[in-house]
This record gives sequence, structure tokens and C-alpha cells, in this order.
Amino acid sequence: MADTSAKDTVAATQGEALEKFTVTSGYNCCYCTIQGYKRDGSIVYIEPGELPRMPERNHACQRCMAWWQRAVDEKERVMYPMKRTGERGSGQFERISWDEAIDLVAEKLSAAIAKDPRSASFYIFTGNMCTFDWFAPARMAHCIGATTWAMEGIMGDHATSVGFTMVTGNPDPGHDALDFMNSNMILFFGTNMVDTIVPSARFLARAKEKGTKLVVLDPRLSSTAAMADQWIPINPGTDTALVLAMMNVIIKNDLHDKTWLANYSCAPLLVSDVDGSYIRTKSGAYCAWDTSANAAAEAAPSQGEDDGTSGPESTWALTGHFEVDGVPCHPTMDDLVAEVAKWTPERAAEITGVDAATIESLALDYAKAQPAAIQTCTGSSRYYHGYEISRVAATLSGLCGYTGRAGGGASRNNGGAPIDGASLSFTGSSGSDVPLMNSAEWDVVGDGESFGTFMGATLALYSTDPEAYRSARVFKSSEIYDAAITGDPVPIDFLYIATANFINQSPDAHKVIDEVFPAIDFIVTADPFNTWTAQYSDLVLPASTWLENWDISTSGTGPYIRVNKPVIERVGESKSDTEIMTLLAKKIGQEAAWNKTDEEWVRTFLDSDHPAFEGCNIDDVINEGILARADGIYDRATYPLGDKVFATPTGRLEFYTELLYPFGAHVPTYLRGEDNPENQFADKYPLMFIQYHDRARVHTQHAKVKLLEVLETEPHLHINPDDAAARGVAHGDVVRVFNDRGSFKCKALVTPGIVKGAVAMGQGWEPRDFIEGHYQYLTHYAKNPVEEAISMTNAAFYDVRVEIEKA
Amino acid sequence: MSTAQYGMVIDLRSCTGCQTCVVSCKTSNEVPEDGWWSHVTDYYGGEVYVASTDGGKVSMRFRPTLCNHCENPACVSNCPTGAMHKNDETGIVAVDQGICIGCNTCGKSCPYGVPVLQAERGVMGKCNLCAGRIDQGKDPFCVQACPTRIRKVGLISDPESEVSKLIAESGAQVYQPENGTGPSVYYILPA
Repeated sequence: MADTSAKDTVAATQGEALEKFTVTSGYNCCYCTIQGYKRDGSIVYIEPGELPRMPERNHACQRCMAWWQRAVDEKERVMYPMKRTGERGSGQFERISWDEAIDLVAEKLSAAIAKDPRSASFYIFTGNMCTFDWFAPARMAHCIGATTWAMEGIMGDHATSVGFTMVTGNPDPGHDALDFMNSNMILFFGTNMVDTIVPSARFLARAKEKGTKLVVLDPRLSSTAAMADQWIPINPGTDTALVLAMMNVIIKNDLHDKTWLANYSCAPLLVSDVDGSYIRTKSGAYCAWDTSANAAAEAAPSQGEDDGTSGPESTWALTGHFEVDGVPCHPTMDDLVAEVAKWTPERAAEITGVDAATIESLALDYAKAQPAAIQTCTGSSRYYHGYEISRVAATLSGLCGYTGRAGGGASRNNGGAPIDGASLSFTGSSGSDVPLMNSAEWDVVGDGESFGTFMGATLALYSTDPEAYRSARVFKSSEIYDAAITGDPVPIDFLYIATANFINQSPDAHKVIDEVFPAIDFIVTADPFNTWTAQYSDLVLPASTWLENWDISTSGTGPYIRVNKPVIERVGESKSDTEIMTLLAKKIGQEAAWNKTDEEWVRTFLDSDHPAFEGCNIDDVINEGILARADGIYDRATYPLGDKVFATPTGRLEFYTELLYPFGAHVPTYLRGEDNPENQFADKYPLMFIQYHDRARVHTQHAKVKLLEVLETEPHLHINPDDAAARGVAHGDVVRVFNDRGSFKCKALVTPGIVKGAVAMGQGWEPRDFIEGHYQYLTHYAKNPVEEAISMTNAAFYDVRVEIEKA
Repeated sequence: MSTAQYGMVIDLRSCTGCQTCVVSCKTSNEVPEDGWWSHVTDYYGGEVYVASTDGGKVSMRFRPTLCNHCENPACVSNCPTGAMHKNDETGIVAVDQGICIGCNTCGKSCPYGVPVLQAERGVMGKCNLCAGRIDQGKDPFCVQACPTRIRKVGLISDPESEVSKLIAESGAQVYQPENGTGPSVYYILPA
């Protein structure tokens, strides 16, 4: 502490020269570039990072400001390699050396490979999303012909990717947050942007001040709903029914944009009355009915100007019965109109709990806003048939001609440029065929293409080429439990887990602990922290954090290239995920692919001829930690699909999905209400239990961060006063929450800020935080046939029925 | 009475209760022990993060608090040593920890309960509006940190300043004016 005898503490601190650093966060949040100050090598504090050319986006939130304190807490860190000595889960380990640890991994891995290389699995998740540490274990898998897992299904994020991809061909068609200013109305379905995509929150606030109406539909009065113009409480998982009713109202009032639909959507495309298939010419072209010629015409993929108009007048029929080459057919718009006709506001009101008048006025306001924007995300899609909400939202946006238009669109909780929005271009078209990073040496390993296939599988629909995925040994994460237990579709004898608290963040923890893990011979977990998953592993390796090693920020980099170099000394004997793989490589004959230090990989990647690097000095980039790309867009809101080019099978905004005809879901509908496995528990367990992402934590990384206890010190179950009173539960009482799968105990937080019939808890707590049990004992991973057909089942973490009692 | 007065305006319409201001203040100012110089409270006076029913409508609102840097600070007038003082040039109320004896008279006399005892050093601590940063032309940490950018600092004694105009246009109000100390922190109230 500086001398404070003459002045107050703060001013004294101001006068002290601290060592400044810049670093980009790696957890699955907003990948913010933050800056901070050190004294004698230790972090003193963190503040918003300075973003070149976009200071209005400088940001750091309470999580980044506080998390480093856990990263340097030796009681929380795995300090050295640990080999299990007791039963799995007993917490009994012995310290071993890195040499012993790597020898053990190599021995077990080699034994599995000798039997069948595919029986070795490398499972990565999102605990550290910097390029090398995130992907190093998967890269090793593809060096040796082992198995990897397409992670989005079990994560519960995939439904959003699927829904948006089906309709727009883009898994993440997000508008930049600056574009909120161009919206007259913004509709959020279960999107809690204020807690989860925090850098965007200020742009919401500015838009609101300008007069944009922000409406949040959520079972819970979230932080985002709290600052909205209107919170519409809605029953969990029913948003799709409400959007169908909005379309019902819009079409009934003839407010849909028929010109836009004819020009840019599948609405005019003809489908067979007999089997629902698209009418195609011999050359494969889709067809529409041209009323001016009174004949079928080829309907090419759409393209258009980003001019805010609906495009030229069209003579294509949006309704009618026609015959093409003897096949009776009709435009897909007829199917959409027929489906939404069933979804009256009154019917939706019964399902959603939102009264019909509110639905009607919401629909009219949306259609008349010109334009209005929509955001959905995991909050409204971690339900059975979770893809439905994003699919229907993307359809609604197209119905009103808002897609690919400033201030419009339907996006997935994002807009926080320069964060997130992986598919959002902040660089325009540079016209360069040169890869952004000089990454070929990293990307191409083993049999060549398979690592790239894995990378490409992250957000993609598995149905696009299942054979290619399987031959690259990239499997659906919805199959991982069955794989371990039955060996189908692939055996799991060896499992290497990195950047993942697998048990804590996957559904149905009893199943994982009692059936999945026991079926796997050897489990290694590499993690900075001694997680629940580490406790059930045979070997635990201490991984370093993004504060400790070299790396490149991968995710949502916006117009920036961002480089991390060590901010603090390694804690304990920790090594980066890449260093661990490099050590392992030497033992299993893979050293040729792992011949660099982390710093050398960084320098190799940055040695690029891409125009982004024009005029820059690599050492300056490394020194500053951030490069404003020479080809970046800094001065305006960007958004996708302005060219009306859709990477869908029809090349148009595609609300009609041929593949789902056998399921009765060829146009958006709401199947969840009818064929939901949780319905069987409706009487026994009347409450819906939802998890949410709160202010204090991204995932379990933020557990036990002392400073964040100012937000919440232990898990609380949010419950409506009526539901609480009916069970004799008072605010602060300990309650037992249970269903047939499991239970937990925690304190009740009685609040009118949640709908009746639902209870909610922030996720990311570990068992040690609970009085008893854990929320993941109550969740399930029931397969969804529609999602399996189109890609893979999205874990329906929030489609969980429970009852509670005072404990 | 100071010749100039710095103050703050906080727009409660877009306060989300994230407490980034609170954490930033705590870490950046190295506020020791369990002391906090900045807080987030429930706007309706209840428990923070528990919603309220306001005029039949369920609502959740927040009021971040800090030292009000009052025109007539009770902490200063009651301080037995003169450690708690109001700066003539800025109107900022601060404690000189070299003089302070940690008697907590200021803490007890402040109607907002702002000064806190730093027991280990036996002195009082409180928000000084990041005076050192203001000297350098920088925003206080809480202003810089706010994710929704709803805090503005400036000279409320100058009617032409941005904050003064904002206060006038928005009808911003001080918290609990009945305490009579003349706070310099204004709040734009939610609708």
C-alpha cells in the first residue's frame, strides 16, 4: 500500500504507476478484451479494455473484474497432476509428477488405440474458447484417428443454430448491437442479454431512450425484462405457440409483406399436394406459378438489394391449386397460412398464459413497427423441440419483410460487436481468398480433412452430411451416453475431457455418474479448477487459464485480431492445453504435429498475408494484444442477409422444410405441447423448473468468486408467491426440489418476478454449493426424433417437471 | 460551502442491477476488508433481486448508491478531528486517513450510512468520487465501468454543464431530500 498519510487511499493509488496489461477473456461469454493493472506481478484490478477505433464499445463486466481472484486462488486450482486412489467421486487422489501423468495418459491411450482408435474420445467444451487451448485436444484426436463430439447438442445451444439454419441458412444471423437504434420495436423471447451479452446492453438502453420499444417475453422478470418497456410473463417453453398466433393475427389483418415473400422466401415455391415435396424441374430447379403467364416458372435462389424495400412487384402466386407435369401442387404459403390459422390468439393464450388481447396487440405492433427486430436464444429453446422458437421467429421476421433489413431480422441473443456474432461480418468483403490466419499447419493433421470437419460441425446441421461426419469420427453429442453404455455408434474406452465440467453441465447427472462414466475404462480431465467432473476422473491435469498462457482469441472477434500473452505467473504446475498435448505427442509418436511452443503457434498464425494485417507490425499486435483489422468495419451497424442470399436448399428464406413433412412439421408449428415426454409427469410434478444464466456466473468457472458473492452467495429457487403459499413455503425457507430422477435442497426466493407454475434457479453451481443434491440430477436427455432427423437432440435443460416441499 | 460542486446523475430506467459499479469500485480503489464504497439497492426499498408490485404491475428496479457528496455534509460537521472534509474546489467530501481516528462518528451521523470503518487500519473509508481520476480528467471507476453507461459525472454547480442540463431536462431527483444535507447525486427515476 502506498503512503496514504497525507491523502485518501484512492488518490494515493492514482499516483502510483502500475503495470498495465491487455487480455481477452476465454470463457463462453463475450470474449471481451479487458485491461488491468499489476503491482509486483499480481493483478490489482481490471477495467474495460480500450478497443481501437470503437471506444464506445470498451467493456468489462463484474465477472471479468472479479474472476481473476479465483484464478490465483490456490485452494481452488488444481495445483499438480493427481492420480485417483479411492473410488471415483471419493475425492481421493495422490500427487504425481507430470512425467508420470503423461506416461499414464500415453499408456491408456495407446491401449485403446491398439484395440480401435475410435474407442479413444477427446471431448472439448467451452471452458476456454481461445484458439489453441480450446481445440488442442480435438486436434490431437484427429492426429491419431480418435473420436470427437459435435458439442452443441448436449450443450443445449444447438436448437437455436438448427432453427435459424433451417430458415435462413445461417446459424447465427445476428445484427450488430448498433442496429438496435434502427429498430422501432425489439422483441426478446427468453433472451437475457443484459446478463449474458453485457456489452450490448448499453445499445439497448440508447435505443430505448430514442424511442425503440423493448418487449421481453420470459417466464421470469430477468435483468433484461427489468429494463424493458414491457415484460410479458409467459409459460416456459411456449413462445412458439405465441409467435404462431402473432402470424395468425398478422395474416388475418393482411399485414404480411407479400411482395417480399414472393421475391425472397419459399412462399411461392410449389409443393406436391400428394407428398409435400418441392416441385423440381429435371435440372433440379424449384418452381413457382407465374400468374402473368399462367404457367410454372423456375424459381431461382433469391438475391436482392439491401435497400429496405420489399423488392420489385411479383406475379408469382402465393396461393392456389395448380398442376405441374401432372402433379397437383400449391405454393408453400398456403401451408403456412393453413397452419397459423389453427393458432388463434385464444388458443395460444391457453398455452402461453398470455391473454389473447396482448398477443393481438403485440402482433399488430410488430407488423406496423417497420422495422422490428427479434432475438431468441437458449432461454426459449432449451425445451423439447427446441428448434421451434428460432425457426418460427425467423419465419415471422420474413413474413413482415424484416429479414436482411436494418433494424429488423431475427437473431440469437447477440449483437455485441465486437463480440459474438460469429457469422456476422465486421469486415465486409475483402475479396481475399487468403485465409485470415496462417493456420494450415495447425488445421491439417492426421488424415487431412477430419479436423476441419470437426470444426465445421460446431454449429452445422448433422443431416447435411452424416456420412462425412461419421467417417471423420465426429459424432453427435446426443449419442455420447449411449456410446459409452452400449458401444453404439462408437465405443468409449478412453475419455479425455478438457475445457468442460462435464457432469455439472450435462443433463441427467445420475445417469452420467451411475451409467456413463462407469462404462468408460479411463477418464482424464484437464482443468484449472477441481471440478465435480475432476472428482470422478482417474487422472486430473492442471490446466492453465487464459491469464497464464499465449493464445489467440477465436470467438466473435469482430473487426479485431486479439492475442493473449501471459499476464500472471503459472499457478502451481499448470500447463496450457496445447502444452499438455505437446508433451503427450512425444510419447505417442505425434511430435511432428506438435513441434511448437504456444508463442510459436501464435506467431505462426499471425504471419498472414491476409489484407486484415496490411500495414501492421506483428510485434506491435502482440505487445498491444489487439489489432484493429485494416479491412474492418467500424463506423456502421452490420447485419447479415441484406443481399437476400440464403444458404438454404431453396436459396430462399425457407419456412417450408421438406425433410420434416413426415413429422407434420414441414411449416413451423408447436409440437412440444403434444408429444413431450415430460407431459407424463404433469400431474405428479406440476411445476416447470427452468435454469437461467444470471449476473454472477458464465458457467461453473465463476463459482466461489468471493467478490461475486455480492450478487448471490448460494443457489436460490425462485418461486411465485401463490405457488409458495400453496406449499407453505416462505421466503428464505429451505426447500427440497424433486422429481423421479433426483432432488436438491436450497433456499426459496419468493418473488412475483416469475410466472405461476414455474420455478427457476441460476445455473453454474456445483454440488458443494447446495445444501443437498444438485439441479442436474433432475434434468434429462430424452431424444427428440425431429431433432435427430435434422441434426441432433438439443438438451432440453428447461423442460423439466418438479415438485417442491419445505425441507 | 465550496465554490464548485461535482456531482453525478444516474439513469435508473436502464439500471440492470449488475453491480459492475460496485465491483469496479471495490477492486479498483482497493477498498480493504469487507468495506464497500458503492452499493446497489432495491429501488422500492425491498430485498434486491426480489421483484415488487408497483401500481398493480410487477417490476424490478435498482438504485445504485455512493457518497452523495452533500452540500451540507453531516459527516463533516460531526467529525471531531477534521479528517472528514469537503474540498473547496470540487465539493468532493473525503476523509484524510492520516488524521482520522476511526471513531465512526461520521458513519453514524451520515443519514445515508456511507462512511465505513476500515477496522484493520482503524480509519474510516468512503467514496471520494475518484477525486484523483477527476483531477486527471477521467471518469470515476463506477462511471467508466457501467455496462449500460447510465452514470454521468460533472459540475452540477455549473448550469451549463452536461450533467446540469441532464438533471434539468430529465427532472432527476436526489435520494431522500428530507435529510436536508443537499446531495449531489441525482437519479433519473423509472417511469
